[in-house]
Amino acid sequence: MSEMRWNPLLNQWVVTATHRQDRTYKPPKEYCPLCPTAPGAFPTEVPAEEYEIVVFENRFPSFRPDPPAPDVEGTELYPVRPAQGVCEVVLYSQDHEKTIADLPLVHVERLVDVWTDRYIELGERPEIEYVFIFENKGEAVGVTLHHPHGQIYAFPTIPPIPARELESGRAHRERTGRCLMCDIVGAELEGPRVVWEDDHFAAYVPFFARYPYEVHLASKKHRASLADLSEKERKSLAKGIQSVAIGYDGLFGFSLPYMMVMHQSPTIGGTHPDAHYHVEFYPLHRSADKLKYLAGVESGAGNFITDLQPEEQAEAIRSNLESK
Amino acid sequence: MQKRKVKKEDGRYLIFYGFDRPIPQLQSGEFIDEADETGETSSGLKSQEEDAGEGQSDV
Repeated sequence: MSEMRWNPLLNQWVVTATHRQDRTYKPPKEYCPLCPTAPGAFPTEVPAEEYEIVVFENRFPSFRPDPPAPDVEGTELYPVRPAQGVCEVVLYSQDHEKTIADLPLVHVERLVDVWTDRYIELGERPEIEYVFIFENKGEAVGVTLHHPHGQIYAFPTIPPIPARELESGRAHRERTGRCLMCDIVGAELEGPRVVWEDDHFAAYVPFFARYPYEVHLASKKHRASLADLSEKERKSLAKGIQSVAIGYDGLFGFSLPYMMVMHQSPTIGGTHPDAHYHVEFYPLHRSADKLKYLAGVESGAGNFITDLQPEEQAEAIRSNLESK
Repeated sequence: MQKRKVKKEDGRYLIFYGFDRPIPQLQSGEFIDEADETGETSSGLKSQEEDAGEGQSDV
């Protein structure tokens, strides 16, 4: 069962999804449920012998289009609501071994087109306020299936971190009259932390990086969402995403695990002038054999302690790309 | 970009996106919708639904 329970201490919803405990765990490659279904073999999620890009509803969703009633009664202190929404899985390729770094660039461009289509279609649902596109890559971030894939959560509320970014943007705009992300991108382009850029997008380790080798990839022009990008900008975004992935893979000599998240305009009605499309990458490796854990200070106080200078992190990623 | 949606036996939907190659034939069931070659979002899931076999994932 799943439901949303209100946390009045942090002013945010918590999703309980107990059925997800039953997920299968790290199946062998020959039983990958995300590969195409071979003739006579066990049926995977995809009932075809080949595919290019596939999207399907998650079998273990945290949010459902028609959710059951909550298991518990809400109160004034503890409101409860059904976990209504959509959870999708995006299969990047039928090739079990490929990552974004390995795929042909044209395939990543098509993946961007699919993400754009999903953002628009899911965002048109009246119950959806935020379409959150993300990828968890590698066992270090808890992945249980190695086939290249990402996920989409279409939320019935604006999640806390995007909401906080939007609120920061609103305050900045009231104070300065400008977009916060536009100012951040402008500042980063003049500094030493840029790892990749072209005419449309720039990737940089932000001044305030929290995760080791954290990278933000942002539109240089003010674009609220994937739906606002031109064809050239979508191709640039694909190139930027792949460049970050390639730069990561050169850091320690293995395919670097990371979380990749997209922040963009909510899809609830009205305008969102402070939404500025960008992608954030959060690796967890601070060295080849050491992980960054979100321990007491990060989890309990909310302050990240970083072991690496953002400028040094940027130089390491940039030099990997320059050597390619 | 081609886009075709089917309905799995457990009620979930699945969408094939095609670019270089035609949308593949299903191993069970048939598509009942016409392929969307516009790249625009489709609307109305029910008109594009068809049983399409079973499958399991753990994402």
